[in-house]
Amino acid sequence: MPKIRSMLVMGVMIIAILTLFACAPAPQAPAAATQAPAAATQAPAAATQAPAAATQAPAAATQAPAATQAPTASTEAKTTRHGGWLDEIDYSVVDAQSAITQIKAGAIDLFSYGVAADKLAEIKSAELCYTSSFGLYYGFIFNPYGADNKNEFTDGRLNPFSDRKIREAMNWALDRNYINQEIFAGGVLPKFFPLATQLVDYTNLIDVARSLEAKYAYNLDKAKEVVDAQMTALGAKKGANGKWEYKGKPVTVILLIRNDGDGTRLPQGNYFATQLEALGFTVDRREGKSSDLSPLWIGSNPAEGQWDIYTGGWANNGLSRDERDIFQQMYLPTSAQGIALFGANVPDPAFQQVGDDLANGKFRTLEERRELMAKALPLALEDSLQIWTVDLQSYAPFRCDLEVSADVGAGVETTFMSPYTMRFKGKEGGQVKVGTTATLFTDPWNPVNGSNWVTSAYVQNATGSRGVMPDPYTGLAWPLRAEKVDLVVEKGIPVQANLDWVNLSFEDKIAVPDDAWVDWDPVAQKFITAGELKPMIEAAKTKKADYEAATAKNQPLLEAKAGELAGAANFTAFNAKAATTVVANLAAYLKSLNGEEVDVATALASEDGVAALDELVKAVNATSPTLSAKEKAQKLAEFALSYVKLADFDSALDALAARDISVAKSKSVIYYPADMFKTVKWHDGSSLSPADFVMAMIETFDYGKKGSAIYDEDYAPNLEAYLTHFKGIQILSTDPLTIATYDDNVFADAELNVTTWWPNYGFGESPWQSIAVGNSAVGDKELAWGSAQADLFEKEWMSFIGGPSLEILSKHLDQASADKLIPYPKVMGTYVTADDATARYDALKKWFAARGHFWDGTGPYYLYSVDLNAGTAAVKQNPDFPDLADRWSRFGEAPLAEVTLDGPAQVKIGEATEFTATFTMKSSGEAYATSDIRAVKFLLYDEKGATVYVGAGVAKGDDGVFTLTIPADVSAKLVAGSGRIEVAGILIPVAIPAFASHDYVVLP
Amino acid sequence: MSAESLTVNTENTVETKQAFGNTTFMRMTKYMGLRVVTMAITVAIGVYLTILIANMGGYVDTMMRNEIRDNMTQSILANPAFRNLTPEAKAELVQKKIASEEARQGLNEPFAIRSINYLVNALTLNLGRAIYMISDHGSKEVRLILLERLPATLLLTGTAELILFFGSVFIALSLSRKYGSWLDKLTIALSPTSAVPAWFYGIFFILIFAAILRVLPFGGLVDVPPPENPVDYALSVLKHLILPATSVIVSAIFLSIYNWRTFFLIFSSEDYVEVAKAKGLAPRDVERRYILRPTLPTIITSFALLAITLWTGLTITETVFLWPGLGITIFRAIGAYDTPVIVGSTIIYAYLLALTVFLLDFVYALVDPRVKVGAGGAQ
Repeated sequence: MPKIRSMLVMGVMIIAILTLFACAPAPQAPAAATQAPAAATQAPAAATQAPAAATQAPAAATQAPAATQAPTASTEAKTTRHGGWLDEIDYSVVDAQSAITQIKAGAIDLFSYGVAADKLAEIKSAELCYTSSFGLYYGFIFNPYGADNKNEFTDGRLNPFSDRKIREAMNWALDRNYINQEIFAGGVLPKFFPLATQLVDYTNLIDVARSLEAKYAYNLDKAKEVVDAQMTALGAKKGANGKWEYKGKPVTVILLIRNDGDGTRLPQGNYFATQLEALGFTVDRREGKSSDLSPLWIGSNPAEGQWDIYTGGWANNGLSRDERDIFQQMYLPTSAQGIALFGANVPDPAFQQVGDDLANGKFRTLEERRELMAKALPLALEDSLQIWTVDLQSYAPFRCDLEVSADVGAGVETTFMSPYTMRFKGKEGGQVKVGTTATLFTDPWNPVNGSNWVTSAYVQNATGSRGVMPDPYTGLAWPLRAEKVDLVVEKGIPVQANLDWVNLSFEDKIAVPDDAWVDWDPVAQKFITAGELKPMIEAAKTKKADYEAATAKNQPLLEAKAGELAGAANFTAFNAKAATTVVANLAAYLKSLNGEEVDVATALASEDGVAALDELVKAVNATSPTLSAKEKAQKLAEFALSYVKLADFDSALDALAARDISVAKSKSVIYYPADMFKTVKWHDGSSLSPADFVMAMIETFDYGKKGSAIYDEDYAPNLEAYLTHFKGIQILSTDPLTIATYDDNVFADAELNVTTWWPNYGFGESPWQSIAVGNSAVGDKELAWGSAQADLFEKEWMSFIGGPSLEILSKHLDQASADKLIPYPKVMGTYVTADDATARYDALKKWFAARGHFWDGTGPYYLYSVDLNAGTAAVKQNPDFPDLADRWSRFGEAPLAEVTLDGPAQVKIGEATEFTATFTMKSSGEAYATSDIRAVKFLLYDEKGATVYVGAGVAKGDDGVFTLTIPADVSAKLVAGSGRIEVAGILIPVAIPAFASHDYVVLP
Repeated sequence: MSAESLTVNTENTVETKQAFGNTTFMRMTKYMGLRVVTMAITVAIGVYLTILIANMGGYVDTMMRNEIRDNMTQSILANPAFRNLTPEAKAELVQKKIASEEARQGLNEPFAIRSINYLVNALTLNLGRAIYMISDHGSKEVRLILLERLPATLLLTGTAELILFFGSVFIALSLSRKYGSWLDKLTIALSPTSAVPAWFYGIFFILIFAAILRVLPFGGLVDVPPPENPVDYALSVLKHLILPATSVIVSAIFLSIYNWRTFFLIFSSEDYVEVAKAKGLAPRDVERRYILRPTLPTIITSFALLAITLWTGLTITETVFLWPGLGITIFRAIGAYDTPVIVGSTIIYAYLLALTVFLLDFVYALVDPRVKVGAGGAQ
């Protein structure tokens, strides 16, 4: 007993000692083992952008807010500090549920991922500051099948949602404000359109949008009226219990309700189900997570009616300046979604036309585009294949003495500029602790095809720079390393320049010079010039023409033979063997026809083949329905032709034949400053050089080209898509670096048409030697750049920051250094000498030895340490960064506006009435500069909420003050009763408009 | 005569001993062989059932195909790089990406074949590669995914469960001798507190010690940035261990003591214990020889089973404290239908369990002379 007691005492003492030790003040992190990135370069530099896509017409873009003023430092005393404002930023994984408490307790300073809208009240009560941004958007998707089949599913059940008017009526059945208040605590935006509410396109159509929102405001009686009329017209009747019946059975709506994710689709679905029940439907609520429900709404045939409504959720595109393709994408059978339900929709032909025209860029001016968008909005609500509920807002809370910039569309973590501007207000230095989610290290980091998580990118952004700096408030771009750009666009394509660093001009025709690099030869490992590719294209075209001619000749012969063989078959004792014989004979005929061999034996012996044969035999021998001999022969012939086909034309040749590299729709020439290669250094101490840019160009192509040592078949479609619009590159000069890019992909904002070729590979910035080392490991199949490639090789997905990759990369680095390896020597040899290569490899070795990782950049911070198990990362200030810390200071906070609306409480019919709208800065309360307000519009609503007038505000003398006048002739048409005026200010420095409204009484 | 007899007797004894030895050896061998075969079959069936359940008999393939379609479509439509592609080019890209991803996940092979492959690989401890999951260090090897989380899990579960186990046993033994004392009554009164799970205590502890008192961290494994000095690093880890380990201990300690105390009380009232006490043996001797010894098989069984459950982690507690352990990993694998990871963790647990059960038979024989391996009905 005494022993046991003494053991207990000892145990308690040990725990107490451990506790005391552990609770001791946290040890100071030792000073960096290495020096921070050094610097010293030569030559000029250049830059990239990820391969964009596609051809065709100009992308949209709006009459966008444009701030032409170049970024300047703040009005504070000039700093001499280079790199980031902070000494250190520490990132760690934090539970979102406790993020606000942790900030209050001082454990973290910012939760960058953002918390859900229902936490807004908690943020405010904790007296924290926050940024807001868009997240997912929610709605309901209907199964539209049946519009061309008596509004019935194939089993004869009525599908009410095949009727457009019933779908449209569902908008009135949804009280979006109720959803906002009850489910999201008022923290989200009610949503009526597929456009992001209150962002660029919405703002440009604000008068149309607000009118429609008023028209489709919650009105259950109206919904009931429409549903009653349409259901009756469809042949349904209400039973004694008030429920709809069709052919004597209840009309049961299967509502698929997602119960995973943020959990808000469950109450939304239940709310909608209740509303549907109020309209007389019987609702079968089926809850499940994504993977449970996707086999139904995605995987099933809409005709079978396995579902009627799904609680949809879609990702927001961030601060997109161009959403013109959203109507086609979200409603029309031509949608790229590729999900059967879209194909089952039968839209109004006018909507189909408008949606397709917008998606295909069939407009010549921005005004035409706006008109199409204005037409599409009401048509979308009339179609209502999907009805929308809310645009989620997420909120990133932080200490109020911190300055944090965030993309108004997509939040803190997607904001490239955020680490450049983050600081303690009025201070230099310090350490910020950032909390984020567990996706920080979910996937390995490598610059070519590594982690795609925004949380990873947020840390990576601190370590990198680019040719241009995305504007987090307008979606435009500012020059970061670039100096200027000359952009030439084909005449007739609507493009506008918003900022003065892009010189926009138009030409009738933009020819691609013969010496431009237009493609890559993965075997010879060199670029193919336009002059070299043209004859190859012509040869491909010739082959294609020959193929088409041969097909035109042989296809009818093959079909005739199939008919002949099938007609001769004995159907009295038809079985799989007989069918196989016909197919084999047809294959033999094909061989005699053009020498093509088809292995039908293997195909028919496969699992699918056996099943198909079985189905054929059953169909032919079926007694109900019994097929005629002719029908049987036709079925057999079709079966045989499905296995014996003329070979498809070679897809690579086909893609080549489709290319036209003689002209381009745009040419952008980017100029980098003359001293860039002297001032910009990699964190490993080596200087930026033209070779870094050329390597980025090569990797864009080589990685997706079959025949390359690093070929990744998963990336190949990306490259194919890129090549549908890419037309060529020319390095016009290396000192200073000047690069021309020819492309058919034209966005309506000139600033977004700049291809920088900066050595950012899409998943991170990297010097050429790191890519060469990685390529070496991939070429030897010891590592893979991408996930799919890793599975193919059955090797590890490359990580530059940890795990088994490091040892392999280190081995290849040693080898490259010993070999003085110049990768892709036929191209890179022009830009790199053996001595350069040795110096680069040595620098990388030192970097790896000091920091224990290969993550190298040119940004304002460098990656100091990572602890992958613990989920932490730390970056430290890069004093050799060429820019002063205050370069982007004016973007420290979003220049949002608030507006107050003053005016009379009464409007007399027939008399002009004036109201005054005053715009102020949300952050400071100071007057908003009138020059920063692009337009002020106001709308008048009658007592039923219908729009009766749309007018424009007129600026008065004082900054931010506008007069809104209701003309006498307009007020003469008002009806006595209550009324409301709403004002919307469209701002230039930020895409989010400012709204206010004022109620009045209309007096006779 | 006597000499002959002696000789004969000696020979007989030797023969008897040899016969006994042969019989024992044969019995043991037969028993062991049978046990191994039985357990191997049990493990194989258990693992295959896991594969079938984890894949819903193959239905997960359908779910995965649709998830792939949804994810690929949305990722391409949301990617700014593809925003300006023609609708046709987008649709073609989507289809190619879907095909590539389906092939990567092995969906072009029938589930029946894959399930057999999973089973064979599992039984041969060829854990293979995960479908989605990646280790913190970037590896898709199931072995590494599980191994890299093992230290943190063992640290938490080992610390908490071992303190809990030995603390409970020794306190219970002590209480069994103080039946009816105030301490005994207090323990019984507090035992319902174990109805509350560890993570619930965890939340309270976080509120008290992290949010209000600010003396301990909210969660995680180590400070940010992690100290570079190993001693400081270890101390930092210990600091982060206090709250999760305490939560586990507090949530179960009273009920555990109560159980063991009741268990010991039953043995304390056996006749032979009373006889020992009547003989005047010292209480410590009574405790050690007459109570503890006959209960050893049960204690050892409990401990052995506890030891193998250590490696399964504490899913919710790990989640609450953001402790990077195996519990979270396995939970994520189940949610993602990542069969190789699920099977990998299952097979290791199954083998450990089988081995433990197998060895326990022998341990029982060692600690309890009444038990004979392979004797009687056990055969």
